[in-house]
Amino acid sequence: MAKSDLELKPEQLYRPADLSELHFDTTGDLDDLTEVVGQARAVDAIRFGTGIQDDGFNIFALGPTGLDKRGLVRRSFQSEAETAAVPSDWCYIHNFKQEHKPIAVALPPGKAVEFRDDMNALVQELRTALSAAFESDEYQSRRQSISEDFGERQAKAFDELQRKARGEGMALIRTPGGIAVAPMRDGEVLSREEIQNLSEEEQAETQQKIEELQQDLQRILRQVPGWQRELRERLNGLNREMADLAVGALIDELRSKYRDHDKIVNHLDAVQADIVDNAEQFLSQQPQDQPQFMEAMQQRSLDQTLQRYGVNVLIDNSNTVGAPVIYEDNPTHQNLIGRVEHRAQLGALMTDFMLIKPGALHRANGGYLILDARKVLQQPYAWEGLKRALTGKRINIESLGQQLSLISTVSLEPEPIPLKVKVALTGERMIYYLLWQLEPEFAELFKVVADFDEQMDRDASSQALYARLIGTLARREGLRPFDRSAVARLIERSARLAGDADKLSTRLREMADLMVEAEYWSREAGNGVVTADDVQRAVDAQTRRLDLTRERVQEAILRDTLFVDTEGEVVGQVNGLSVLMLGNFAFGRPSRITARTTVGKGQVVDIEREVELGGPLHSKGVLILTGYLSGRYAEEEPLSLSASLVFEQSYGHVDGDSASSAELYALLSSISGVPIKQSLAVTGSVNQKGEVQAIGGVNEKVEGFFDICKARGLTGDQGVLIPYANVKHLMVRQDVVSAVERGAFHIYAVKTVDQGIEILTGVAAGERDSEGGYPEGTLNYKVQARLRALAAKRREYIESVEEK
Amino acid sequence: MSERYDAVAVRRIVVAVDASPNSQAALRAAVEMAARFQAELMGLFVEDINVLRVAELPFSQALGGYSAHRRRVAVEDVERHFRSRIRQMRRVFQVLAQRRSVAGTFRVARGMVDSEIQAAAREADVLIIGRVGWSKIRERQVGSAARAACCDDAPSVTLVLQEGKRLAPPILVVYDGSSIGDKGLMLGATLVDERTEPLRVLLLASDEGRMVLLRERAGALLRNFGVFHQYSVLTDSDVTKLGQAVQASGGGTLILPAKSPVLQENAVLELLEEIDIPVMLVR
Repeated sequence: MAKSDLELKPEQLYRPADLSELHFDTTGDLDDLTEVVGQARAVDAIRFGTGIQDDGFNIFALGPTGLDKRGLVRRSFQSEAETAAVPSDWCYIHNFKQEHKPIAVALPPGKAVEFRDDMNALVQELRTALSAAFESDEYQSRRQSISEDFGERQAKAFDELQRKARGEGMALIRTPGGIAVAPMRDGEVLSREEIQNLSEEEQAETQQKIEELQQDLQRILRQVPGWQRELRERLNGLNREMADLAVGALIDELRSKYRDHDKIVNHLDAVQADIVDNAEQFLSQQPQDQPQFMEAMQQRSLDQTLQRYGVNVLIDNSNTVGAPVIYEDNPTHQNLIGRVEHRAQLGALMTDFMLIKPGALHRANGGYLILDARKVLQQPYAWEGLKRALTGKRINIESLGQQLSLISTVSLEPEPIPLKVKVALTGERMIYYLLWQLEPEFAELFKVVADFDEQMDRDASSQALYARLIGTLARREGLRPFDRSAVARLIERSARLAGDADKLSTRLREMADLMVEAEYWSREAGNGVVTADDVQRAVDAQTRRLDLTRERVQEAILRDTLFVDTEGEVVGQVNGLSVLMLGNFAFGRPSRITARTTVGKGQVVDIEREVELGGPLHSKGVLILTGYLSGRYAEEEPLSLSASLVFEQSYGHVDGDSASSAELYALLSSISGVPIKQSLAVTGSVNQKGEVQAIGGVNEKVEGFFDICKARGLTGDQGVLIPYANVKHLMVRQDVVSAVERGAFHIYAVKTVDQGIEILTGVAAGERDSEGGYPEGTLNYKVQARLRALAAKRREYIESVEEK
Repeated sequence: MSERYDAVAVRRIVVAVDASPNSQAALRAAVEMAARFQAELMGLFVEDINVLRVAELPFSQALGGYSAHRRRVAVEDVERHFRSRIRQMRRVFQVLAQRRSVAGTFRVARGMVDSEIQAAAREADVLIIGRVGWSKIRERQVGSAARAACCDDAPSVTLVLQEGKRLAPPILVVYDGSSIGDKGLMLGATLVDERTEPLRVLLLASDEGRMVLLRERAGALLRNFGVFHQYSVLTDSDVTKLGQAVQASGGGTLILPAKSPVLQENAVLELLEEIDIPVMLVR
């Protein structure tokens, strides 16, 4: 095939957008696009996942970032949620039987707040009603009567004893050690001498009287605690009676209102019993009767008592329309499952049911929850918490500190809340496959896979849809309209991002960012609409911001620090092309590949592999070369060759087989001694049959060599050999297309090694005849001849060694 | 001293202290009164000889007020108890007197509490004492010292104070038209602070004619003091009614003529047990 037949025409290098199906001047004329472009598979999966209600049919939306996975899932959920029933409100109330286990109560939407307000109003009324009851004359007089009864009983006992003592010439005297009984005369206790002066009988009698009186006194003193206990019981009974009267009617009203909710009715019963038990706390205090801090302590104690009658509204759906659709941006364990907060109180951390806070699962309960899989996995125990909730179908708030026994402060065990939620995780493919492989329960919990494609087919109708998508994005982002040329340029850019002239990128975020930047340049230029020039400027500016490394590499080549020839001919040396990826920016870099051959045992040594700079794919490519050489040239006798291949001045890791064709060309040149044109560069992998296969990054590779040639001055001989299979991927820069148009640069698409070597050397490859030979003068003839010569040399050498 | 204060001569005040809450209230009121009348103040602590004698008795035992357990009473314990309270009260006395610039002395005596207080009070114009002292056996009973202070031998004015109380307005004077009543009225007029409350006068009048008479007489006396005053009337000469009238009046301090017809025999003591405000008994 003639060299000119393999050269690509300018129109093969860049496929312009076809907007013939659409008639518009600017995107302002285009309708909004409501359907999703290019994600039919994912859309179907999400629709299925959203609709199916069975257990475990949660969704994992996988694909690269920038595909608007979350947006699509959210819209699908919202569409379903609109017509769904509003889920219940949830609140926590105090558990009077087990204080550390607050009770969860479900109420119809909006009723939780009403219940809370009712209980707050009850507490307010309690204060008034109980104060009124305890300040009433009836209460005061009954209380006084009870107290006086006690006082009188005590006074009577002491008075009688004192009277008896006086009758017997004795008196009760208070001493530092207690109350003593002593003999008296004229109001004075008898002195020791006076006692000693008494006769023995009188002393014995006195002692006897004292003993009797002491026994009486002891009896009275022992009765006092009993009387005091009785006093307290009677006062408590009175308090209970009054409190019951004061609050009974108030609580009955609520009991009637919430009669359909057993938990609330039970709670109200418990509240009433508690109020009655703690009635004395409501007794109004006389501030002057006690120190201020005591009053404050009593107030705090009362507040704490009243707080237990409150309601902690965890979820209020009073303003919710349909089912909730929640996206949790920071899915920590606490933010997902909820938490129990603590407050510092007198140096200790205390908590109660009012400090229970909801998590995303509470908010999404009865609806939908969207989470970023990577974030969930990055947060300690968040995945475990989510998994446990989905598996157990209930939300069990438990702090990590408690779970891991890290802290032993007082905490709560709130009653678990039943969970019914549809969860969608979004994330990269790798995360999905890792979870599938490593997490046994994952497959049970996320049965619906929504696989997002990063590219879509490019044809007239899809381009028309894409144009409408651009219009929709422009309006959504609040951008000025894009004219027809700008839309076309964006579509072309999308194809370039997809790395395929027949495809379009579905990475909407990248496209939206480009549009925002193009609009910025349009505004800077004072254009009313965004034009193709603005888009191109945005593309150039993006490249400019990212291509410092590329510039440095090119500079090194142009300054001959990195050796890359772009003219002349050299044996065993070819320009290979590789792609460097820096973040989301890729560029092509020409590298010199050299080959050396000598007699040997049929080995091709990959120097990159020897020094462990070559990856497995690269090594595979090199090993294929041995197979190719043996099959092509050494079927009848051993391949007696030793060859070494190297990427010159490559100091980093090399992988991929896209340089294998270049390596083969260098090898063939070295074996045959036919020089290779350095004005050409090569990319493409090769198989054992000598077919050149497709590689990635073809556009960047072409542009990478073009930039070097252009900088040195295009000679008209320069160009690039690419695999024919990559022609459909070409979307090269306009300056490359222009150079090809002018004949200043050439791009050849080759299908076989023979086609490539002919272009590179200018020598015909030569076709194999029936006897396995090649026409004289052809490159293959020279290769075969050299290999035979090497085989002969090796034979001679072996024989000479054996003779010795 | 102003002319107005000369109407009731208060030059020397004795206050009995024993570290009980009532006696601390008495000490505060005494310092207050001494400062007002620029009188000399004497704090008196009596080491009760009866308690010491109990401790000296060979068979003395005391029963714990809470535990009802018997234990021996030692003289050293009693003396340590006295020393501790004397130290405490002397310090409080000095601090309070110094704060109000009151000239005062603190004396310790050993003997029968009632007689020691009465002996000291004989040399004073005013005796101030807590209603119940440290040696109380039960709560509401008026203590023996206060009881003795209310007897006829007491000085011209005896003030009995309760725990936590002070000489607070409004001042309520029971007026019966007697010369002692006049004295009490003038004392009330001297003590009243017109900026806070008017002087309240409770007329003991069995009929309207008597009431008019008492009112005219009181009015004439109070005119000299120029104090604002209000009248109320008690027609029944009964200590219970008097107690109720005092409670109902909302009075802060009561001034009472000791020889009033309603205060026969132990009526003063009954009244002291009924009401819980400071009482000044005037003779």
